[in-house]
Amino acid sequence: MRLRIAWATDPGLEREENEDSVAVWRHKAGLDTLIVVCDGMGGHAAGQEASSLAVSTVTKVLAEDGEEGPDVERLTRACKEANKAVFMAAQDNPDWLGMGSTMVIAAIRAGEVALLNVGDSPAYLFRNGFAKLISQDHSWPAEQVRLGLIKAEEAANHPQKHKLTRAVGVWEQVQPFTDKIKLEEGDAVVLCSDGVETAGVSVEEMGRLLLKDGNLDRGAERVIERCRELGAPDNVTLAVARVEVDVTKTAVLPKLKI
Amino acid sequence: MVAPPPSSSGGPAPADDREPTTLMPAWQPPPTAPPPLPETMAMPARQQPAASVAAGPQAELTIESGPDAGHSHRAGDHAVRMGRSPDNDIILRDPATSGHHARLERRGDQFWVVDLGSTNGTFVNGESIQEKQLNQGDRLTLGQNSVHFAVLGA
Repeated sequence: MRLRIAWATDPGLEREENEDSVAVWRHKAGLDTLIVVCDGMGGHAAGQEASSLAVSTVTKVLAEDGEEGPDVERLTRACKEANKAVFMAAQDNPDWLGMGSTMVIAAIRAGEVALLNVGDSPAYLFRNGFAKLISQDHSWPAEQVRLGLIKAEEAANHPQKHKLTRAVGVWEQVQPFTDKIKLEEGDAVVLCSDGVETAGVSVEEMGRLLLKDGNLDRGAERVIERCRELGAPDNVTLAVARVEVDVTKTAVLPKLKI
Repeated sequence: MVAPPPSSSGGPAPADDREPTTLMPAWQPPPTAPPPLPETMAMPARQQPAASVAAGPQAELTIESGPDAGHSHRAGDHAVRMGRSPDNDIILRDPATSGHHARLERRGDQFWVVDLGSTNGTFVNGESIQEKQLNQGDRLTLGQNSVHFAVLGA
């Protein structure tokens, strides 16, 4: 099972700073692929510091823990370390007080992906032309929906959509969502910051732009270009890992040109 | 679930899709607008002292692609630190660049680039390196930044 990886990022049209951070690893930390996207928040440079520190801590923990494979416990430990690192840094520097970051991680090996997320940066699985949200949205309205207090339709354009109930580095504790999924040929796992949705690019459109030919790098650029066409008010970052289709054995995606 | 208590102070947030992401409890108010970065932000603030005698070869790093494309930086008597944090000589405002990503330094008459344990790695002509001696025209890649290396007067 071979994987293709691509990523792209852009500050968008209305922000000077890019507060997102991204890590893309191949064949390191006992994994085939590790992709991480973090979207920082906080005034001035704090958001960038938070996301950058979150990513570097997670990758460092995974590189040095001596373990292998896509294990959700392993990702949880790394996430907790990142939470501690960002929390402590914020305590030490008044400029960084209250900073935090979202986090979404996909760790892949041997056809399995371990997923972890905190906050509202989504992860999607594209399979056979269909998109599925595989992360858990920790925005205020999404939590309210899970609690049965409001309906999903009410959450869609909720005024508190940008309020997070969970984040990395804001509280002493962090409670990540984790999952483990078996991958199939042609599957694509996409992590992104909420800038894609904020720009008005739907999940389906993102999937089409990403996967319409075999060129994932170009696909990621197409998503960024589309976000910019639509005004891109927020930073946009996406990272994608796709299981290559063996075109000699399958007819699942006959149009794919690899 | 660690859902914190809803914010007790402050009125309802404005229904503005472009509101920056914040946390439910208002630990501190979100900034009304990010302050514009001065144009010189990406340039090293430090000027080489004009009077000092250049004790060895000088080089130039030119950022060819990425968010800070177009900027050039001199390197020579002092090591040049590259990364995302504001305390670098070359600040690369890029989500895939680490806070302290790499350093360019002169050893004897040769220039070397050293990766500082960056998350996404440092590449010379597409090859991942820990440290490497640079040759005229080499292309460094840090995150999404492509940086051209040239020895001046060579």
